[in-house]
Amino acid sequence: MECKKANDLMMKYMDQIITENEALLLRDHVSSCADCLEDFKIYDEMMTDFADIEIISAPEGFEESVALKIEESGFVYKPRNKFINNLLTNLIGGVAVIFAIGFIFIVNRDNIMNFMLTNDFLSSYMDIITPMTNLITTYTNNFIAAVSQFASSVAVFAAGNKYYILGAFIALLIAQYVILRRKENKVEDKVE
Amino acid sequence: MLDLKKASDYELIQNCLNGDNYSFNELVARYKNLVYSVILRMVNDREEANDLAQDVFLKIYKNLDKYYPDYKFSTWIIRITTNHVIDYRRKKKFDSVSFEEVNYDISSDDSPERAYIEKERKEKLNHVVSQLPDMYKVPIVLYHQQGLSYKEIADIIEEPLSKVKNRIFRGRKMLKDLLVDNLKEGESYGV
Repeated sequence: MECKKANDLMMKYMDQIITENEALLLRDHVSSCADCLEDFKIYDEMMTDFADIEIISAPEGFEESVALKIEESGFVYKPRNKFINNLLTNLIGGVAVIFAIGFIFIVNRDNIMNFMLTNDFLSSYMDIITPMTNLITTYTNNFIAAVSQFASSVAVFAAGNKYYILGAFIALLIAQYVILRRKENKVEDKVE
Repeated sequence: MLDLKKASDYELIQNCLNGDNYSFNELVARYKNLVYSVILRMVNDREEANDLAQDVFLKIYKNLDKYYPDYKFSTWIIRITTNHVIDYRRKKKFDSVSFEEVNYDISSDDSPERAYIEKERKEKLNHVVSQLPDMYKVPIVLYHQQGLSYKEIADIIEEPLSKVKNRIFRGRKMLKDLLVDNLKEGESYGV
């Protein structure tokens, strides 16, 4: 066996993953190679000394010192206001539900109103509902018209400035990438 | 009310981000020995290790919102610790470290003479470890002196497993060569 192979086996020995067969091969080699025998003895002693891992304890008062350091830094995490967070979430959720129901109603307005007319109880509310739905329909149509006009204007503008828009988009992507890389490197610098 | 002693690291972190500093005190209590021992094995000076360890925990505190539970909290902490110490040593242009400054208490049931020889040998080993370049010292300290696995070390230093193994193998060889070089005339290190 070559000394290089013997050295590989010494590494496996230090990792404590050497097999019985490999250990025998290594033993045979070092019994006939003075240099490798010397190396092995040193590694073996290193293993013994490393194995005696001393448990090192932080000095007394360490936790208090850290707490003081944090206090002196002035850096604090403010409590997140659960009530306001929940309120906002519920509010947004509620508005979304109302919007969804309203949307379904508007889309199926004629069917729903025809159904209501056939029902004695519901038809009594038609006087209230009909003007409201007419108003909503008017506003919706106006909104759709405005959006269409805006979309046409945007299309005309984009057609005339496509290269500027493309350049701005690429610049935005590059800026985002740079910001992201800086954020990643802030805490975790490379070892070497 | 969260029982701090039984809470997981992640629960403590979330509590801390919500303004509860007692949760961070619990995290410090859990990991102070780990951080301190890693630093001490790298700088070999108790006072310096104490200051650096406190700085590390301050850094950890300020960056808690950047921790993601993809890795163990201990892995993340050791990563910050090793990077901080390496940056510190670069700024100080750390050359060699005196190994006389730190006395590692070693108890032995053997004879006083044997205990003395063992103590000398271990101090010599710590001295040569401190002489290694950081690139090799970090994985050697983490593997042999902190008992971490190759995978854990790879996660900490963010390098492939093969690179970690290679550095540890080369680090061992360098230690062997340094031990042989450091022998005084007539002395032997296990040989």
